[in-house]
Amino acid sequence: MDRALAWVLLLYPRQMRRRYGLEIAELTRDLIRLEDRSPVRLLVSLAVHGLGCRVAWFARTRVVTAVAVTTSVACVALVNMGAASAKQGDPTPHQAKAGLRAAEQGPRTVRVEGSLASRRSIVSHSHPKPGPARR
Amino acid sequence: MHLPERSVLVLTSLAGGDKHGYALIKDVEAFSGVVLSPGTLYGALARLEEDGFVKRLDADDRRYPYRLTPAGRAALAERLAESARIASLGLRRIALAE
Repeated sequence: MDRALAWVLLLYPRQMRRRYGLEIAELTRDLIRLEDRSPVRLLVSLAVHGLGCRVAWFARTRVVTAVAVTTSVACVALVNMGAASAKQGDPTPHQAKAGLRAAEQGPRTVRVEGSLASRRSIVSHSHPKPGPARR
Repeated sequence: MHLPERSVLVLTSLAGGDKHGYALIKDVEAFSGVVLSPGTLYGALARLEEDGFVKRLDADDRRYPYRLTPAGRAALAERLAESARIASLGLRRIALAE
């Protein structure tokens, strides 16, 4: 009986076995001795519960590990992106916002006076529509 | 905080005084008719101890008694008040429907 109990307790996670193993064993012996409960039923119940604890513990540690790894990878990626942006001279957020505003306003025309060009409007900032290429 | 049913049973038993595993199982069975297995009992105790709701006392002849902490008492009171409110509402509605 004691040997079977020891084997069943091995199914529990080590932390729980160390903390409560002796108590669980003592309580199981008490229930068999004083309550006349079936040893086989008690052992099966303990085994099922031990497996459940083991699975829950395993799942919890896996989730913690996955979150830690994902966070680390995300941090490294962000740092790399920041470094790459700084190296390429990307616009600052303020500059990017100004450019976006200009694009939303559409093409603007500017009249230039005092020369041949004064009779024509010059598109100073526009996004030409796609069309057939001129040669 | 959500307390599972078996944790409520264990806390309710400990509200009546310190008890070790065997006394807890007998008391819970006496007042609720629920027969806890050793695994279930110690699973609940482990969780409650981790949450700071119960405290393990020094061993008494290879048995460790457990004691309800003030935090455990507060959590139990809150949970039982909620249960009482739901029970009261349910009973009122049943009475109205009859």
